[in-house]
Order: sequence, then structure tokens, then C-alpha cells
Amino acid sequence: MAVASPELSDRVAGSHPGVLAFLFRRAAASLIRLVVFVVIVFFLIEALIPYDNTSVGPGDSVSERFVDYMLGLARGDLGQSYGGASVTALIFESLPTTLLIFATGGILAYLLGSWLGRIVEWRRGPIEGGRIAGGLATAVGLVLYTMFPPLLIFLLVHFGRDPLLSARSALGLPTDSLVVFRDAGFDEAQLISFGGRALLVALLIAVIARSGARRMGWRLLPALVLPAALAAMVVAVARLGVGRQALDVFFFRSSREVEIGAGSPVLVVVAFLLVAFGEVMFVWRAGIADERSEDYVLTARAKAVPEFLVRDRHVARNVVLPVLARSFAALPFLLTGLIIIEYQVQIGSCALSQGAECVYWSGGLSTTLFSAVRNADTPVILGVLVVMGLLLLVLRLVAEIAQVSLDPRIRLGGER
Amino acid sequence: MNVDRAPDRLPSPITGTGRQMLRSLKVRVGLSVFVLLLGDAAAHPLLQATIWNGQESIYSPETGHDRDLEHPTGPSGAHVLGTDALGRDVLSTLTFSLAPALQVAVLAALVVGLLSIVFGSLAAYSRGWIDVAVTSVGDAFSLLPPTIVLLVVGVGKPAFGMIDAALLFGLLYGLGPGALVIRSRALSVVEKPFIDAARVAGSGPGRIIRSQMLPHLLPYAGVQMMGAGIGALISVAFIQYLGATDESRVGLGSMIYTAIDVQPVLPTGFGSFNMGDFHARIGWTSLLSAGLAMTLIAAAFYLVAVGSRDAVIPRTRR
Repeated sequence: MAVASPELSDRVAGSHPGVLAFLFRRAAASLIRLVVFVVIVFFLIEALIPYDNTSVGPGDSVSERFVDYMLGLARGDLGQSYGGASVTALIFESLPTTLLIFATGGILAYLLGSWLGRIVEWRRGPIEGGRIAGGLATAVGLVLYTMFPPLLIFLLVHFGRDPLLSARSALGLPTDSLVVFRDAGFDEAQLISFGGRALLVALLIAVIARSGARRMGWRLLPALVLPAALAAMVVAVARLGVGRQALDVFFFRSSREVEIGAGSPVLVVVAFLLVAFGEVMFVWRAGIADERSEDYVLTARAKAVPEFLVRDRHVARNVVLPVLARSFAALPFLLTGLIIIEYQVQIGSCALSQGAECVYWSGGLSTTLFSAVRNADTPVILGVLVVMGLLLLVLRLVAEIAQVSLDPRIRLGGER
Repeated sequence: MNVDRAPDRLPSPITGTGRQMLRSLKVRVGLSVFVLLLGDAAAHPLLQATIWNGQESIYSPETGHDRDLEHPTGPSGAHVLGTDALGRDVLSTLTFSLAPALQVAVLAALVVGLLSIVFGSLAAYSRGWIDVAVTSVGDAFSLLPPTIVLLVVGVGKPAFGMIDAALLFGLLYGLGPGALVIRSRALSVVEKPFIDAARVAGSGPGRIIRSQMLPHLLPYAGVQMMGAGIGALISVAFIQYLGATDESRVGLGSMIYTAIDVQPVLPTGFGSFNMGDFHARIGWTSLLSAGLAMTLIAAAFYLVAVGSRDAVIPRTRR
């Protein structure tokens, strides 16, 4: 029909301002949050580690610097480090690596944690084995989550090194990583950033395809999507002829002089995954436990809906909103955990190389942050904190939009 | 008939909740672990006064060194948990470090519990400008990872002690994520019919928050306190691990640092590098006992918090 009925077009037009107004309100609220956040951080840092006044004019008071900082921030300028470099440039040099690891590890941790959480909590019941598995999963998740990250990394590096090095030689890789990359025409950093982005895209497609397949009610397909996406990546890597280099990055890198590798970014992803999946699992378990005795579960069972569908389609849909909210609340702590892990993988594996030449990957945000902390470089510290806050704020806005699209009650019910 | 008197005849919701919690196996196991850890911490002064008495040079947790041995050593009669790379007795450093670690975790948890309940329930009950203020500050603080702030401050200010760290962590967490979580829980409690009933029955805001809302919020506050306790423990350990605090300070984090990073003898030249030598130099007892202590503290927090939540909110129990 070319002409829609006036009623319908009214209704359609009427629904749009609601969504747009909601988004606008949320974006405005985020901007206010950002300003409040920057004010608090600026004065907190100012109180705790005062700005070194010798590098600026003597007349620069705190209030003047604050106004300058806010004006600079509006232009995307985070000021100058004590060394004279632009803080914005310093941070954006190291941010992509951290973001890549955060996203890859985070998505993997979410998939693993939500799967384990659902399975374990749902199986809890009369069967004794189910309860034991639940207790075991809790214990493992808790130990990994509460284990001191440097200790976790140390154990990973210590016990993973020998098997990985022998796997390396079994695959025919030379002991020297530089040989692998000599004639490749690209360096390791480029490969990591390309591979990471490809992995991220593959994971995203897999997640979307999984939920699509589940919506269609196909049973086997959702379970196959993720392995298929990973297999496709492996095939693509082999076809592109970068297989050897990819293996080199994936296993421990080997340094020139001694047969001891420094940490690879893959190790950071693995460690982050181990630390983060427990959190997701706990949140999912709590959510399922909240919902499992609701009336609609009984109704669905009475209708003879298969048990996995009751779990994944009836219960999980009601659980996903609080889970999203709680997972996003955990993001600042996971980001901190990642920064600790990044630092430890570099420093820890260098400590293990015992004075041998230690070639480690140019790290992410942690490198910038820790060198700034060592040098008491206030502008850089402030910049890192502001950028982390900004990142978390953007993620939170994304979460809010996701929540609205999943649950129209939030939009209609106004602020909660 | 005075309707306001009716609730007084019921047992107090707080003590009732406490009794319910103690009936949970998880809570009892968690509390036993706490008692065990406290006992270990209390053993330090006792051991110093009795068995280690007069052997300060060997068994001091900070400066002790046994000259007769090449460190680190494994468990032996003289050193039950062995020694670390610096020659200190691991049992001595461990028992010495437990009390401050527990202090940090418990203090941070208490601060978070107090702040989040007070501000969260107040914001949800009164709405209006109080709500706006609590959520704005909470939003700002929840964008600021406390560990990073502690790290920055710990390195920047040498006089920054463990208690200061615990208080700062509690403040950032309690006003930030803690208050926000309790507020959102309190919002759903405020909408329950029994709050209206209490209001109609003539209860004032203070009484409603204390005896109607608090019992429903405590278990969630407990979970927040757990998160804060574990977070503060790990953050402080990380500051110690980085060696950011006073050099002589002994803690769980610095025990791990000493075990991993301080290698007493570097091999001469790359050629003579020997894996066997290197493996032997890691202070395994120091490393594992410090790691185990942190995991036990965290597990005790988890068991008490989750156990009492399950005991009080039967829906989460199965």
C-alpha cells in the first residue's frame, strides 16, 4: 500500500520521539556524569599528588589549571606530560592493544561464564553429581577470581613455558622469533592488531548467529557456530600464508639469545579470561537461581517444553537484563585486573628470563600508566584515569541502549 | 487500637536475620575459616614470645636471616614453612602479615557496608535531590577504579599506610558501585506493598528504612562488602607487590614479590644458564602460603556473604 492509514503513521511517528528523547536524555546524562567525574578526578589527583609547578609558570593556580584542563578536554587535548610529549598521543598509542585484549578476553569470558553458569545452576537439583559440579565450578571460579593476578600469571608462565616451548619445536618453529618474522614483510604488532580485529569480528558474527539460530529453535546449530567461526579463522590464517608467524605469536615468543620466551599477548588474553569468567558465571548463577522457581517455568515444563529450551529461552531471557547490568558494574574492576595482568606478563616473564635479553611485546595502557606512576607524572596519570573513565562511560551508554532495546518497560517507565 | 504497636511484638528483623544466617552451612564454614585465620594471626606474638624467643636475628619477620642455610629453603624442622629468598622464615612472615591483611579487608568491607546502605536506602526512599546527588557521585566514583587510585597514591605518598588504603578503597567503592547497587535494590523494595502498609500504619521514614527495608538490603550489602573486602585485599597486596610501600613493610603481596622477583644469584653469562638452578630459587613455600592465605580470606568472605544471602532470600537457595 502506498498510503498508510493515518492512524498507523501517527502511531509510528509517535513512537520515534519516545526513543530519540530517551537516547538524548541518556546521552545528556552521560555528559553530565563525565563532567562530574573529571571534576572529582582532577581535584582528587591534585590533592593526592600535586602538580609539579616548576614546569609551568609560577602564576598558574589550581583553578586556572582546572579551567585550562576542561577547555583542553573539550578539544580532546589532555595536556603535556612532564617529558613534554602530548598525553593524548601517549595514551592513544597504547590504548588499542588494551582495548583489543579487553574485548577479545571479555567476549570469550562472557561466553564461557554464561554457558557454565547456566548449565551448572540449572543442573543443581536432586542429582548429586550436579551439585558437586556446581560446587567445583564455584570453587575454581572463586580461586581464579580471587587469586592474586601476579601469582596467577607467574604460575601460567612457569608451568606453561616448557610445554609451549616443546610444542613450538614440535611444530617446526625455530627457537628465534626474529627469524620467523625476518622475511614476512610485517611485524608482530601489525599481525597482533590485525589478528585481534579479525578474531573480534568472528566472535561478534558468532554471537549474533548463535542468538539468531536459537531464536529459530534449532538445537544443534547454536553450539556449532562458535567452533565454526574459529575454524574459519584458522583456515583464513593458513590461506593468507601467515600461519608460522601466527603460531609464533600464539606460543611463547622466543628471544634471540636464550631459549626462554617473554610473555605473548595471547597469554594476557588467557589470564584475563581466567580471571573474568568467574564473575560472569556467578552473576548468571545468581540470576538463574532468582528465576528458576517462577511460575512460568512450571508452566513451560507442564507444556512439555524441552528442558534446555526452558533454560535458554524462557529463563535466560529474563535473567539477561540483570546479568548485563551487573556485568557492566564489574567492568571497572575487570579493566583494572587487565592492567595488572598486562604489567605482570611483561615484568613477570622478563624476571623469568633472568637477565637474558628480554624482548617483550610493547604493552598496552599499563606500560603508559606504570611508567607515569614511577615518574610521578601527574598529567599522564590524570589522562589515563580520564580515558579509562570515558571508556567505561561509553560502554555503560552502550549497555543502556542494549537494555532499552531488550526491555521497553525501562523506556516507558521513565527513569529508574 | 494502636496499630503502630503491632510490629513490636514480632522478633526484631535484624536478630532474626542473624539467626537465619547462622543456620546456613556456608556461613558457618566461612566463619570457621575466619576464626582459623585469626588464630594464625594471633599465633605470631605467641611464637615470638615462646619458641622464637631470643632468636630475633633468625625469626624476625622483617629482618630475620638464618646464616647457616642457603636461601630459599623448603620446609624443615627449624623453619616449618621454609625460608624465602631473603632468608626470612616464611611462617613468621606469614603469621605477621595475616593480621594487617585481615584488617584491611574487614575495614574496607565495613566502610562499604555502612556507606552503601546509608546512601543507597536514603536515595531510594526519599528520591528527589538526595537521589540525584547520590547517583551523580556514585556514577562518578564507579568510573574510577579504586585499585588504580590506591596505586597512584601509594607510590606518590610514602607515608600512605595500609589503614589509609583500606579507608580510601572503602570510600571510593562505598559511595560508587556500592551505593548504586543498594539503591537499585532499595528501589524495588520501596515499591513493595508492605512499605505502603507500614506508611499507612503510621511508621516514619527512619523506622521504615530500619525495620522494613534494611532486612531486605542487608544480604545484598553483604555481597557488596565481600567484593570490597576482596578488592581491597588484592589492591593492597598489589601495592606491596610493586614495592610501592615502605621498604621494610612485610605483607602478603611483598611475600609473593620476594618469592618471584628477587633472585639472589644471577647466572654468569647466558651460556652457563641452568634451568635447574633457576627453578630451585623460587621461594615456593613463601609464594604458595601467601597465595593460599589470600584465597582463604577471599573464600571466607564469599562463603559468609553468599551463604547469608541464600539463607535470608530463600528464592536464591534452589
